[in-house]
Order: sequence, then C-alpha cells, then structure tokens
Amino acid sequence: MTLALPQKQHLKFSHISARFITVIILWCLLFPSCHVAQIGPSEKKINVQPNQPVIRIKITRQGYNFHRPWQRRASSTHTAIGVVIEGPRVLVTSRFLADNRYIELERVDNRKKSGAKIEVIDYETNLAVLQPIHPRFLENIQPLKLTTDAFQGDQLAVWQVNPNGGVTPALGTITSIELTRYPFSDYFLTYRLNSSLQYRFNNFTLPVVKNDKLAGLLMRYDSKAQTIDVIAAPVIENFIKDAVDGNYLGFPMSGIKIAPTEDPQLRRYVGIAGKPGGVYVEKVIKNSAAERAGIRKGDIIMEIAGFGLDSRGNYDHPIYGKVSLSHLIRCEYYVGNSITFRIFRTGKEFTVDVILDHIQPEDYLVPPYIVDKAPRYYILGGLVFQELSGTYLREYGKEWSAKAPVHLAYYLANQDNFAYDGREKIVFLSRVLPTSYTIGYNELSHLVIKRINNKDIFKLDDIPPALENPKNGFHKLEFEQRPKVIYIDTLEIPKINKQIRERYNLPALKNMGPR
Amino acid sequence: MSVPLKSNGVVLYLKLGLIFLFLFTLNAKTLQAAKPIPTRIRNSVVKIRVISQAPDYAEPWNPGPITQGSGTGFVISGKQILTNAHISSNARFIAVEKEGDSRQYEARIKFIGHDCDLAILEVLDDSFLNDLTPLSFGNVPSLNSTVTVIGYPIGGKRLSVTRGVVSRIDYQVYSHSSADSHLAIQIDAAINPGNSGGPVLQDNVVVGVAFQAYRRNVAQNVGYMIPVTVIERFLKDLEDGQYDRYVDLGLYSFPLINGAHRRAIGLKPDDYGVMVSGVLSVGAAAGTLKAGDVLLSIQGFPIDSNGYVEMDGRRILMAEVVERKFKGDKVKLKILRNRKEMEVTVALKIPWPYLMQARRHDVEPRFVLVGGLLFQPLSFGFMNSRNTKDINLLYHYSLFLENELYLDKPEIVVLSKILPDPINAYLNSFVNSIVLKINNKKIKTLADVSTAFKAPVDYYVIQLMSKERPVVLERREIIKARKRILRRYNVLKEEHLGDSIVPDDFLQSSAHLN
Repeated sequence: MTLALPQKQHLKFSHISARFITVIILWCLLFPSCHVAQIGPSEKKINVQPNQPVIRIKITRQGYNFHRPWQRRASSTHTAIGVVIEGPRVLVTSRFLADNRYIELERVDNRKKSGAKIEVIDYETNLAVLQPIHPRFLENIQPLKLTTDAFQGDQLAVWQVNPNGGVTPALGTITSIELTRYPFSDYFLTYRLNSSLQYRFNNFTLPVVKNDKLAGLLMRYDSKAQTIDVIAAPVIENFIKDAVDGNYLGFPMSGIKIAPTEDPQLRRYVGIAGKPGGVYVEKVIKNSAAERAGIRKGDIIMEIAGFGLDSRGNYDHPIYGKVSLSHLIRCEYYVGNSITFRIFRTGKEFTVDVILDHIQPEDYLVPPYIVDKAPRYYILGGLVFQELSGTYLREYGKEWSAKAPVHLAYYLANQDNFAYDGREKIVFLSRVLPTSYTIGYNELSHLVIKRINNKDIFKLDDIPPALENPKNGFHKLEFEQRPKVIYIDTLEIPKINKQIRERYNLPALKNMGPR
Repeated sequence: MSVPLKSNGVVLYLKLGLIFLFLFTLNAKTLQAAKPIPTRIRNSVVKIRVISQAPDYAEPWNPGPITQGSGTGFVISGKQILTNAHISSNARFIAVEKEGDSRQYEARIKFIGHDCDLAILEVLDDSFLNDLTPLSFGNVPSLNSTVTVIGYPIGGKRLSVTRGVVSRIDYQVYSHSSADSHLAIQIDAAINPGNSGGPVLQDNVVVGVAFQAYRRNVAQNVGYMIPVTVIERFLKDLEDGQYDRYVDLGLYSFPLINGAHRRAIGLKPDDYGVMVSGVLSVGAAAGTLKAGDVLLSIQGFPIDSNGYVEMDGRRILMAEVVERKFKGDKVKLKILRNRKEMEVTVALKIPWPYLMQARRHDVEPRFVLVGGLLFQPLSFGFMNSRNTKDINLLYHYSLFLENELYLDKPEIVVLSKILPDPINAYLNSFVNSIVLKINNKKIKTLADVSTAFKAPVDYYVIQLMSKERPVVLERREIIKARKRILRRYNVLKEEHLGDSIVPDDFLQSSAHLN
C-alpha cells in the first residue's frame, strides 16, 4: 500500500473490488475447447497417488453487509486446491478464505476430511497457511518444495484436480515477470502465463508447478486474453519465512509514493539532468518508516540498497530483469530491516537509513478494506453511526465511485490530506432507523459528525463518553453537512431503542469490537 | 425537425432524478367536441425555425456543430413573439412562419431569460404584422380545469391542438438551465418535439407556455407549462430594457418537524418555523442570517415547519415570495435566534456560484491552451462533454456551492486535455487534474493561468491536486512548440477568457485571501 509502482503512480485503494469481480466472473467462464486445440497446451494425466501434495479445501463464507452493519450476508460455499508445504501446512490464497465461517480440508487420495484453522493470513499478498485440526491428517504426504527459479519463456504447469483426485496439469509459458495489482490493491511480483487453460471444477485457486516444485499459486485467470496471473514464488517464500517463526509481521513498507522522472524538462528543473535515473517522491505517508527517516516530498531517490533506480523506479534484478523498487523493499527485506536510500535533494546527494515497518489497513484514516471483522456501529436514538471504510463505499456496487456519496468517496481518495487533523476515523451518520421519535430526521444520511455535546468525535469510541454531558436534557449533534445541527431528547432514547428492537429485530444496538 | 439540441442526458451530473425533454407533442387521446379555436388566435401562433450552433467543450476553439430545430411561439405585442429560451438559445438564424403563409420572416432575439426558459423574439419585417392580434394573459388555472395546447409538434406545417387537465401546481427544475427551479404547472396533455414555446389556453386567454415534459417509464402524459406568474415576472423584469435574472435569499433551510429538535431550541410544538441550515457566503442573507436561526415569517406570511406559506389561497414554498421580487428588492423576515424573536431585512441578489452547475447558453467555453495543455474551468458544459469518474472532479463540481469551494477557488481550473507533442510526452497521467498553483502562485481563475504563462521565466512549474510531482514546462520549449501544435491540431484560438460567471467585485474583495 505504501509504495506505488512508478508506471501506475495514482495507486488508489479504489479499484480493488471492480478488479476482483472481473476475476471471479472470468473464472466462472468455461473456455471453448477449440482454442485448446489451436494453442495446444499439452495435458497429461497423473494417476491418483497417495502422496500427492494437494488438498481440496472447502470453505463456507459469510461476509458482512456494511450498509446494514448488524447483518451478515447469505452464506456461500467455495472450493480451492491448496498445496501441502513444509511443516506440514497447507498454503492457499487468502482472498479465498476471506470472511470464512468454516474451513474443511479433504485429501484427494482417500477423501478423508478434517476441519482446519488459519495459522497466518496476509491479505496484501493474497496468501495464507492452514493447519488441520486433526493432527495426523497430512501424514504420508510429501510436501512440495518451493522454487524461485523462473525465467521468461519457462513453462509452468497449472495443476487442476478432478473430482476423483487425479491431477491434470496444463502448461503455460511465462510471458512476463512483473508487479501487478493483487486483489487487495497491493502490487507484488507476478508470473504472467499465456495459456488456454480449460478451467474446470470451479476451484478458487490452483497450484502452479515447475519441475515438481511449487512456483506459485494461480491468482487470476482471464479467459478472453488467455492469461493466467500467478503469485510468484519469491512472494510466497518471503511470506512463509515470516510466517513460520510464529510472529508474523507482514510485508515491509517504506511509506512513500513515487512518480517517474523521465520528462527531460522535470529532470532539468530539479537538477538531475546529468544523472542516471532516480524517482520523485510524491508523498510520504504519515507515521511511516520513510517519514521517520526524514525523507521528504520532492526528494529524488537515486538508489536503494545499492541498486540504482531508473527513471521509472525499476532496478536490475539478477533473475527477473527490470523490476519495480517495490519488490526490492517489500520482498527482499523484512519488517525491522534497515535499508539505505540514496537521496538527491536541492543539489546534494546523501544517504538515509529507513527502518522498514508495516502499516495495517485498519490504521488508515479510511481503511481501504475490512475483512473478517464485523463492521463497527453505534445506534444513538435511531441514528446509525459508522466508521468510513473502502468496504463501505464498495457496497455501492461496481460503479461505486460514481454512485457512493461523493464527499465520502473523496475522503477515501484524499485521506492523506486529512491525516493531520486529529481524526483517527471518519465517523458518519449512515442512516436513520425510523421510529415514532425520529420524524423529521428520517431522511438524514451520510452526514459526517463533528461534535456531540461540544466534544470532538475522532472515532466511534468517542461517542459514548460524549453522551455523558447533555445540556437541558438534549444531546446536541453537529455535522459537517447540512442541517449542521440536530438535537436528541435524552429521555426519548430508551423508548427509541425499545422500538428499534421490537420493530427491526436488531441483535444489538452497537458493535464496538476490534477494527 | 425536432429540437435535437437539448436532449443529451445532461441531467446526469445534477442527480435530479428526472429527465426532461424540451419537447412537446401530440397526445394519442382523441379530442372531445369543443369550441373551435378562434382564427385570430390561430393566426397569432407561429412556427419558429432556428439554426443554432452549440459550443464544443471538448475542443473549445472549434466553432461547434450547426443544428436545426423548430418550436412554437405567439405574438404578445406588435412584432414581439414570446417563446422558450431553449428554442432560441445559441441561435445563428431564426425564421418565423405563420399558418397559411408560405413566407419566412427573419427574427432576432430581443430578450432571453435562461433561468426561466423564456425569450422574446422580434420580427424584422413590418409586413409580418398584417392580421395579427396579440394574445392576452389569464391567471393560474385551477386544478382539474381543462387547458388547450397549440403548437407545431414534430415539425408540421399546420397547427396542432391538444387538450389536457391541470394535474399539479408545484415547483419544478427548469431543465433549460437544469439549476433553476420555479413554479410550473403539470398537465396531462401529451408529449413530442416541437410545441415548446406554444401557448396553453383556457377560455381563449394564455395561461401558460408549454416547455418541457417528463420522460421516464414510470409516468405518462406528464407535460409542463410555465405559469403566468413566471411570464409576468419576466416581462416586468424587462421593463428597464434588460433582463436581470432571478434573485434569491442565498440560504438553505431544514424543516423543523422533529419534536425533540423543536423543544431543544425553544419552539412550541405548533407548526411554524424552519431552521436555516446554511448560508451562502456570497448570497443575500450572508451577514444577516446564520445557520441555526429559525425563520418564522417572510413578508408577513407565516412559514410552516416544512417551509411552506399560504399565498393566493394555495400552500406553496416560501421561495415563491422571493420569486416575485426583483434585483435589489428587500425581503422582511421574522426570525428566532437564541430563543429571541427578531426582524431582519435582506436585500436579494443572484447567488452567482450556482451558475457553475447550470447549463449555460449563448456563451463560449472558457479555456487556455499552452504547450498542448488545455486548461478549462469546471462547468456544466465541461462535465457534460466528458464522462469522467474522477472523484476530485466530481467532488469539486457537485459540492462547489454546498462546501463553498468557490471561496478558495472561484473557478476550479482543470488540466483537461493534452494535444500530444514532444513537449508534453510524459504528462498524460496528469489529465483531469485540478490546477493548484503555477510558479507558486495560487490559481483562482482561468485568467490566473493565462497570466502565469505570460511571465518571462525559464520554467513554469504547475502543481496539481493529488499529483505531487509537479508538471514542468520550459518556456523555450513552449515557444518552439507553439506553432507546431496549433498547425498540427488546427487550433483556431488559444484562449477565451470572456463569459466568466465570477463577478469582478468578488475577485477584488477576495484578492487579499491568498
């Protein structure tokens, strides 16, 4: 999240869902078989052997409806093929596990089943490892080893598993190795295969293998373009190394946004015309590693960890060629590592050491996404208050950026501009649950609350203490938007709450649980 | 022969929830036996043919497409014809035809009111006058009474007559500007192109001008006419020889219906008073009223808790009191502030920032083109010319008035397009960004952009919103590229700084705020 790719510098959290929806739709489409014949990926069947390192995973998912935060969505069940790795543990994509209620593993050889629990999950890299509840469930399975060896032009096998447990590999050629957007909007290394995969059995993810070693997990399949995006082994390797020590810290970040410097007029203006490469620091995120290290907006980063950067922010990776500096920072290092940046500022070059850390999505003013957690809300006299998040806005559907209230969407897109105004979250009145006492207020929605009884509301948790000091029996509520001020009679609140419970059958009038 | 120029879905950005077409047509309903329309009236209803040229907001130096349309009008005195503004806006040539007369009489616009969709045309040829009797005006018709619509729908040569019933009298958005609301009368006569501007008659006097229709699947036979109250105000405004537009209080109000709300601010539970929920800083009420005040009465008319007053025997929005006033007129209000009643007087004026979101006519798009970079201010025409989902543009457009963004930037200047050239080869990702500063000087209007690029400096450094890396243009490169770009893209003009909506006195008074 911290570091946008130079070629896609206006990284916003915004496009996550739209992308992801496309992915799902594409996955659901079967591929016409005639194309297979034309392009001819060789398919060979591997017989069912007891030690195949694949596990069928079935999950039942039940997400939350952020527009009705007290309510769960209808449950749905999905399957995926996970990989048994050292441990043994089962590796799978995290997007698959999002909002799960129940996880079940099934051996493809003897069809035995076991419940499972998540050992570590990382939404940024779309990776997770599971442990079976049944301790000897994975015995006799030879774990698959990881290989980070993969070059452009190599052939990789996508393992599909048929209902009888047979593995059917389909081959695809690596056409590029580059950073692409992962489902939760971060950029990580991706193998892009061209393959006319005949996508079967509706599995959410599949292992991708090279020479009987794990090269990645299938992340996206586009049947029209005949491309498969694969979470690349270096990302998996880094994840597993961090995960196995029992103290998972997440992928490191520096906390900068960069822009390319190819424009010769810009290069002459900032004074780097005679130098090779360098990228422009567009933004330094509040409380980030880069901010602590003293990097400023407008600095030019010439070098990171000894690697020179070109004007688009790429460095020369010994295996993959030109790759974004984001890979260097996020996948070659760990949280807590120190990494040296060579900076050009007003005619002088110097180095700073950045101690990498990790910012959780829930630490942002407007969290770009919320997974696995019930939306927080507080109902005050029929007025529903919530904390703004990207997930709330994406409830408006595919065209959410045009359909969501524009002032709320603006907060998400420009949250850095509000990072220093004292607020920890944007608390807003999302809707009113009409009762006999809310007549005249029933139409109010999407009003950002500023103060209650003259106390600032910087997060949802500020509401209950602010209610301790009503004046003359009324709570005074001040909003950023019109009507700016309304009042609630303290004596009416219990009556309203009673009506809400009786008429709307809400399980609870608040959720102040963890973010 | 319809009036095709106005139907291009512009309502989108205002989220009105209604889509109006400016067109009026035949009803499928058969006419019941009724008295024939007297010949003197038929003769005075004319067909208007207009050749117009709409501005091109995508490439604003272009002259714009030429279109042909037609509508209806009627003689109100001598050679003067009343019709809709939307028939005659952006006109390049206007001709008037009488029924049973094959001649075309050239006409010109004498007055045009884009906020009330009315215009007065004047025929140049005196011979037009023969056999013409001006139509006279009646009153606002009562609900459920029958009215007759006369006009030239779908371009026919002969007059068409339809009848309908007055089904509702209420405020409507006038879609010619899309930003003005006035009283309008809904009738169930039907809908198709061409009778816009035609008279609506009752007992052989004019009770309205047909002007727009509701076009959506949910409702049928919903046509609208401009009532005589609006027509009379237009005619009275013109008496001094110019049209001054509607004036306004410049405030937002919120109904005081909630019992707790009323008790908390010391109001009795009776049914009077609305709360001022916002005051436009450049509006009439600024400095006199403030958010939280309660409006109790306006010009002696008590205001109910929903913002309505009782007037002419009808319950109607309190705005109607203001609607009948003119520039400079004053309005007396009784208010409650901090539980004390007070009387205040407000001198009405035009709340100019609303014009940014209004469809404008008879003006050219404002722009500056430098180094292939096109700079344009946000406006209705601009937003309508492109289908942008950029959140910064949508925010600044739709909340310009509401969040008083005009105080900081009277014009929101956008880098709206790049004509590709070596000088701007790396700048594509900056398109649709809002300009904040050029060479560290704040850009408040388009004129500031033009001025900034005239400064003789080596580098022009442009800072854009949400794009922290500046755009840098070298002066010598701009000079080298200029002719090349103009020739390659056939650019006829490099800037148009006229037709601003920002009043000069506002710019002067805010000059110190930098």
